[in-house]
Amino acid sequence: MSDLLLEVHGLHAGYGPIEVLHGLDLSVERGGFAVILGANGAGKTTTMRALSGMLARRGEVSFDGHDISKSSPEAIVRLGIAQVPQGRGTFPELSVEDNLRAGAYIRTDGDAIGDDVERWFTNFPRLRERSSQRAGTLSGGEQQMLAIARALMSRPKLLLCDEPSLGLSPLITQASRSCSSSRTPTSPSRSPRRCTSSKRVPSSAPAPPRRYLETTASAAPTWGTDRWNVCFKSSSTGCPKGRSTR
Amino acid sequence: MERLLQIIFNGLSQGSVYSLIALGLVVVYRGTGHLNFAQGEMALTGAYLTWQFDQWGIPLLIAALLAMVCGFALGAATEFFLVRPLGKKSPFAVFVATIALFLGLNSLDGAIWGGEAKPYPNFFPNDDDDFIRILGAEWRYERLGVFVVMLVLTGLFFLLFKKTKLGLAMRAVASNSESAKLVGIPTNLVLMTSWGLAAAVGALGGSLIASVNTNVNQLTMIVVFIAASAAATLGGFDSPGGAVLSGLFIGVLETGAADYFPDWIGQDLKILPAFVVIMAVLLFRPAGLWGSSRVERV
Ligand SMILES: Nc1ncnc2c1ncn2[C@@H]1O[C@H](COP(=O)(O)OP(=O)(O)OP(=O)(O)O)[C@@H](O)[C@H]1O
Ligand SMILES: [Mg+2]
Repeated sequence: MSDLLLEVHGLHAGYGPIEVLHGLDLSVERGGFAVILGANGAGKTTTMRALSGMLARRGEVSFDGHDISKSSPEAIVRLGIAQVPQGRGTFPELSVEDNLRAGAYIRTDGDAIGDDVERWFTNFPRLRERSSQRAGTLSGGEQQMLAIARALMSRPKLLLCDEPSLGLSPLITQASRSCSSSRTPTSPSRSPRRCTSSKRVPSSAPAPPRRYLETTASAAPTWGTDRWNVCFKSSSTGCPKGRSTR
Repeated sequence: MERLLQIIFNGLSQGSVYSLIALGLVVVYRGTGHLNFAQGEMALTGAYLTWQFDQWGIPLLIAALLAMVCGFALGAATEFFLVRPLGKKSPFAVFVATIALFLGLNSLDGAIWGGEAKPYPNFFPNDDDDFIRILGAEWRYERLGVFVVMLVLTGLFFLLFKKTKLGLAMRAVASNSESAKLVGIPTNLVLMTSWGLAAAVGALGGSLIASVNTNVNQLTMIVVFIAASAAATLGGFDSPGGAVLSGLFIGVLETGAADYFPDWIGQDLKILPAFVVIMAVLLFRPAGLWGSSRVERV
């Protein structure tokens, strides 16, 4: 197996006649971590949507040995890509718990789903307190936690996070930063606009747990149990400054 | 008291049919955001199919079940061939398409089953003494039966929505179809199923009302559909429970209006007071009694 989990070559995508991505190259290693930086309107969200199959696109996209350049969003989720969309995209009319269960839609291991719900409630106690409340009535930050937890409910191999820190307090941000994804290997000559580094991950941030993006396909039994816990717990100790309120 | 109770019994039975059709309207609306104008005529087709199967010697209950299966197929096909391709272009195109379907199904039924009313078989015992007496008022089995069937079906829908994976998927698609795709829900299949279920319930509702009326003709469903749309509006278009309760309410109200004011209102205008009430309610609760104005946060 190649060490690249996700490999993208010459990805074109856009909206109807408007092309936004003109031949994007990108790759994410197994167990690796990538960040895409770019100015507003540069095409970061478009990239995410193209990768998850929500947009018409052309180019080569291979994920975990499968060609997903023409797959439907459903098939792509089943292969192991989950997305936290920009603007959270929770189900506002559904309860917090139902949001999590919907995140596990592709799974068939009923009991383990309940365990995972429990795990996320432990990681985000705020969500447990609100488990039967409708997601639309959560605060912005609480919704963001929910969106991240929901994406992980599908037990993805790759997690795509679009602006995962939006609205989250620094404490939680540290945790979720480790989940954020994708870097900017857009070769400048092909990129629509030069990607400017408008955002930088502060150097003081703890080194992101390397396995965030990939959860070793083969090691299903060890999936998550400790790893995710470690992630979110370590964040509370590993947050150097800006701890502030929650 | 006895008279009031009688009105309530008759009204609940009449309202049950409104509830069933309204339930179908809500299921479709929640999923796709479209008001299915053809819901009543789909139900009429179902009623005719039950009649036809019965004519062919199939036992009535099985005939009704078969009609529901055909109804499901009709609803699913409508979603697949009309709503899906048109909905991508414009919601107004779907609006026009369901009106076209309304007219098309009505004339198709007319062409197949002729213009005159068909005497309809009865689902429940309806001899002169087939009723229970509660506090002096009589609830005839044929009417009570309709009410009970409606309750059972509503209960099943409730379980479907709250307890099954399909129900969770239907609610997720209704709430945010983009995100539903992102978690791997096959949204198109879910919507097709919603339309199918709505039409299947409609087919049963149509057969039941035809049975209570003792006949079916091309106009059977027109008024029923209007009352059901009113019920869905009153309940709030995204609330199945609200639609059912409102359907019952309208049934009771119109029965009472016709009974207490036979000269002013009578049978012809009996639905009118319900509309007055609905307009009054909507003034104070624009989203209907149980409807939610969507909550969103940035
Ligand atoms: N639905 C759409 N139809 C047409 N154009 C769109 C649509 N969505 C985005 N665009 C355009 O595509 C370009 C890239 O948008 P995109 O949302 O990918 O930017 P972004 O990098 O995520 O920006 P931000 O940092 O503001 O989130 C923008 O110029 C935008 O106007
Ligand atoms: Mg964006």
